[in-house]
Amino acid sequence: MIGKLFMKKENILFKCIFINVCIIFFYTFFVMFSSPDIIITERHITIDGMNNALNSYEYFKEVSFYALFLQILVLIFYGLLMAVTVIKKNNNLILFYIAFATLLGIINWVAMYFTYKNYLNSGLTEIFFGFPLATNFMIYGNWLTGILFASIYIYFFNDVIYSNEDEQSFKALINKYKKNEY
Amino acid sequence: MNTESNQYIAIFFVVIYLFLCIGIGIWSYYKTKSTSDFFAAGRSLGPVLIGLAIFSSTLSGFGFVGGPGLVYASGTSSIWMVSICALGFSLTFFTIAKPIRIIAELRDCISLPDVVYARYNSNPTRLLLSLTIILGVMGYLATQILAMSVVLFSLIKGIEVFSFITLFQCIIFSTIMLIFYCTTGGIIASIYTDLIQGTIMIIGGILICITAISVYDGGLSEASSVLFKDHSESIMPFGTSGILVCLAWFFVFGIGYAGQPHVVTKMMMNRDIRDNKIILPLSIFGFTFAALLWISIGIIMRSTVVDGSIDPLISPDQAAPVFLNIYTNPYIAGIVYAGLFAAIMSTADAFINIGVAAITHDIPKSIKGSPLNNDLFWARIGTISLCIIASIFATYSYYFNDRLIALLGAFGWGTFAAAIVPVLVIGLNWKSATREAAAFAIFISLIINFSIEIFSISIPYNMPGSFLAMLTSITSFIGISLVTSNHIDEDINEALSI
Repeated sequence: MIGKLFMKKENILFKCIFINVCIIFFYTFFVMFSSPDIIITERHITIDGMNNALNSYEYFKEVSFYALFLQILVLIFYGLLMAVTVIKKNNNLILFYIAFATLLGIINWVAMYFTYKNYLNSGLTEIFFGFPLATNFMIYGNWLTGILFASIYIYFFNDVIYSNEDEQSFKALINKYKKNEY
Repeated sequence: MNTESNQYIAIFFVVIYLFLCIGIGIWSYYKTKSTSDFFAAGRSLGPVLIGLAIFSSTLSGFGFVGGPGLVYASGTSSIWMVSICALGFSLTFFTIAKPIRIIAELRDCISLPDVVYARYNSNPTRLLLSLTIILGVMGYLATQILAMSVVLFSLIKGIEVFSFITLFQCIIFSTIMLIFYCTTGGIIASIYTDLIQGTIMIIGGILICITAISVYDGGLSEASSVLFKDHSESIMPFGTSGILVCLAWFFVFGIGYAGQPHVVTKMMMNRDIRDNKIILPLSIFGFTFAALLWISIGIIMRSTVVDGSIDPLISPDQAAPVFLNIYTNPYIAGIVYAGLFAAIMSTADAFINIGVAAITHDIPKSIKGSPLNNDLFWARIGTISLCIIASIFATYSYYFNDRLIALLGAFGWGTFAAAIVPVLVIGLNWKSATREAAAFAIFISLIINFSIEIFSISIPYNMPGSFLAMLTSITSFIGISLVTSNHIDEDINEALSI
């Protein structure tokens, strides 16, 4: 039965999603329960209600490989979920743009990761646009990645997401099946 | 507030807002003629209303008070929750906006469990989802009532004429106000309050951000330098909570937008599916401007306390009120306070709405196959009952057991996300998803979230339990769907092909 389901076209992407989620799932539980639990937060020395980070270098060294791949897999997961909604439309262009936006999201994450790693090694960072360099990747980069996906949605809305043919099909469906559930 | 006159200005704006609410409630009462109007606004709302309603329901009072408090306490960690907004909204619109609207019209669905029943043709799944919603709503609602009472109490505290008023009386006043507003107006009142709240949050976000930047001559860069010198991690990308907590929040909050019942039900209310291409950018930009308030207040308050410009706060949740008190023009502060009340009331109304729909509509349909007779009447009775029960929870929790709301609050964002995301995000886009998988995913997410909270299970690296619950529910949902047979009605099968 599983083999049969995987043969269906619509299931190919779900096969990818399933494998992706399974890797995240098992890798997460492996890291959770096999790594030493390092204390990572302490109260601010002089100010009540504020926290400080603790053992940042050791903590990062311990989980860095997992964190790097977790976020890449999560970004791929997001991309795949958006791709499955349009796969039935056989429009390769939108799939290409979704893949491209996912790739840019991954590049932003990798840039953030290595900038932060450099800071941990050197203790130095530049501040511009209001924040340290690595924080800029987090605030502006994460947001802009989402804007890319939103732009794809808006740009392809009439052609792929909800075309005139879709609207006709919807009307026909309503005429054919309209039930009053309530 | 610095002076009594500033307090009067804030109270003046809040009173104007409360009168506006009464007006909206009465106006909505005459617009609400059926249960469909009460719960789903008759699927007749335009894109601007829905766009603002979606983002303001998402942010709620937490964006005003809790968000800046989190940045004050833990540095940049919580900014992951808001920098993900564009990606989260995009994912939600890609995966849910179209199919949920099609199914809602095809089957005349007025609630999320209705849609889930239509998709899976399964009463147990509808029942489980309804119970999840009620548990989540109770926690959220009690929190909103308590927040409204505490803010009201802090506004009038110190003014001699109001010195006889206690917090308990504020709880009673807040509950009466909510009952009137929600019973008369239903979801229509909530949506129009969202419009006011959304507008205030956008304007307030921009004005507050400008004010925050001008606190230091060097703007946010100088504030960041202060924080960097004090404790550099607090302004680095993962804040003081650490990299894994931030990445878990990225996952739970990003995909979690699609699992919030009070958000996704609004996607059933628009008059035309084509409006979605306007609603998405409106929601994103509205949220982004409002989030400026969260980020800028939090960072400025942490840096000004660290450099000794102001005294340490009594609690992190005081970050926004103290900022408004010290740095903001009293009229702008008054408008933001009115926005805070709008946020609390519209969010409370939205939660009451889905909670009452679950009690009077979904659970009776799951058990006996039909809703209660005269269900508009029962919806209003249910609203009153839900408000009273939630206010009792709020009072009991505040005075006797502060863990009660925390327990119910655990059924918040993360639990909704873990229970609902696989069922909707995957289920509405994959015809092979099955009812057994849907029921199991909801069940296991509840068990995991509840167990972690009840038994106070500590997860390594402070990872949120909802992250593990969500991973488990998604994995099990797909896995079980692959080994069980799907039962999908012909009309839904065709709907999912569009």
